[in-house]
Amino acid sequence: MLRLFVLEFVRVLRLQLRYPLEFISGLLLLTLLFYGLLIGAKHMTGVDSVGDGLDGIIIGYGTWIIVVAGLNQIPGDITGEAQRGTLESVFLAQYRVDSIFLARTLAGSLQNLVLTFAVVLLLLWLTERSVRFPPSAILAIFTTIVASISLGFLAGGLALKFKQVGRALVLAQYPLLFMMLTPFETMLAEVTNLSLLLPVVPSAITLRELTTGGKSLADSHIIAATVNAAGYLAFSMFLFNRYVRSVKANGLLAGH
Amino acid sequence: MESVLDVENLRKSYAVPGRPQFFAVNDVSLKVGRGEIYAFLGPNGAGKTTTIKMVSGLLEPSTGTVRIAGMDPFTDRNALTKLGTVLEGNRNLYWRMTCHENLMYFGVLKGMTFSDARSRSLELLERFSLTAKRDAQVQALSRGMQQKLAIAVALMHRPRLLLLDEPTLGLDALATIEVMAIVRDLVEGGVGILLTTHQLDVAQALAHRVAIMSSGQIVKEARMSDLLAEYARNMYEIHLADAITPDRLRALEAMCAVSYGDQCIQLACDPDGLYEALSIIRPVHVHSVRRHQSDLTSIFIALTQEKAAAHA
Repeated sequence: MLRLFVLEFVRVLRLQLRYPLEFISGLLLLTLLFYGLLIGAKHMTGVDSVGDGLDGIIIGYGTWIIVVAGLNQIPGDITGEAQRGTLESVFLAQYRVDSIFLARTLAGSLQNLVLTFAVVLLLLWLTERSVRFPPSAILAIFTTIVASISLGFLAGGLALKFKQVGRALVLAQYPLLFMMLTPFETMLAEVTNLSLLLPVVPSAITLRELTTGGKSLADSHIIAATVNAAGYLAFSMFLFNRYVRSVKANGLLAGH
Repeated sequence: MESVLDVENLRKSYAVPGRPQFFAVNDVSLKVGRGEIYAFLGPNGAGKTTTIKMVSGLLEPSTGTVRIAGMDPFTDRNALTKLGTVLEGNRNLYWRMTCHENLMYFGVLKGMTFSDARSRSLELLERFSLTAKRDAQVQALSRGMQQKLAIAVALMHRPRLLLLDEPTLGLDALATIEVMAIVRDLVEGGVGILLTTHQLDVAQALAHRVAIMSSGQIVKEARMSDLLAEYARNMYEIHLADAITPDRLRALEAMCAVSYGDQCIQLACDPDGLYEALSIIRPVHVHSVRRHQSDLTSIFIALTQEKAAAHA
């Protein structure tokens, strides 16, 4: 698995260095989009609508970028590879298909993490805000990435089965944005507890509390985030493998 | 001969609501030996691709078994380390990556270590005369170079069985000759090759054995030389000095003769049939009679048309 990860990381890095403009344009696009959303809300309401919650929103945007990238990577890879014709070659590797896509997504997430940090730093600079970033936040970022990869496996399974899922993925971004920005931790205890069952939410809460709430890492939070991420990953990989078997049984690997 | 591929009674059927079960592949068995080129031919829709996908583990058979070097590709992923695949249209290459990167990437995906993959990549680039293009992106290569690279990628992990799907499609004459030379070189090294192509001249020039498939079944399987000899044995070509009258031609056509122009008749019959044909032709002067040298194309057409007619 380590060899696969290194292989994919080197591939991602080389392509990134070969096409640096893609990274720079992505960075500018996301920064302008989120900054525009913040400014737009302020002008439309006539007040500083986000007030003290601005730091939380910026972290929420950052989390959302990680999650959306995790969600899109596997289905995007599957559809792109199928259209280019290389998907069959990936299926002919010695490694399991889920291991290959897990390694790819982890490598892609690392690359994406650099982008996310850059966007968050630019947003903080533009809004003249600051957040804490204790080392324990790395754990929360890791569980966020794992949870987002689990969403990617679910979407990847659907891409294998239904071929074109691009529009469904665009639609899925909005509830995810809602989940990443909603401060469930400030609501009634019952709502907070229920929210822990939602994908990625425990990781997003933990990350928000660590970076903007001034709190230290609570065992219960990181355990909830880890269980949530691992549970969703196991479930989504199980479903993904079922879809892999299904396309192999029915000859539906191509046709994207 | 040691076998690198054993396919036994392979079937793939699909249930279509309200219709009888459809067999895309029906009871196909074949063996490819070490150092053997096995041409697997058939018209479009005959079931070749379905069979190839089942052989490579991309499609689960309804019934039957596939063994690559004795291993089942569906239950033992090690079987895939014995298999190299060049699918039609360079489908084992990433166009934005360089030749060396592609070789390294797919080598490691096939289970090689980084250092093994690196040295093997350099060896194959040299062997396929691609060293100068080591750092060129695939999209910048000519079609012929891309095809050579696709074959090199499939050979990275030293497979014992190579599936070649249309390896010369779209190549110019020189590149075709170059790829054919590579294929011959590979079998000398002991690789078994399952070749599918619509370019029957290429199949005839390369293959040791041939199977012709139609409507999901193998309708003929033989050594290439035996197949050509079998069909050449009773095929005559009669060249006439003058044109033949339409009524005589009709009589010959009733004997399944085929005319080419006014003065050439091809006839599949036994020697008695030849005398009968000559009596029909009489008194037109015969310029020459010779046993016709069949090629794979004429045999292919005869067999697949026969099967299609029987199927209809």
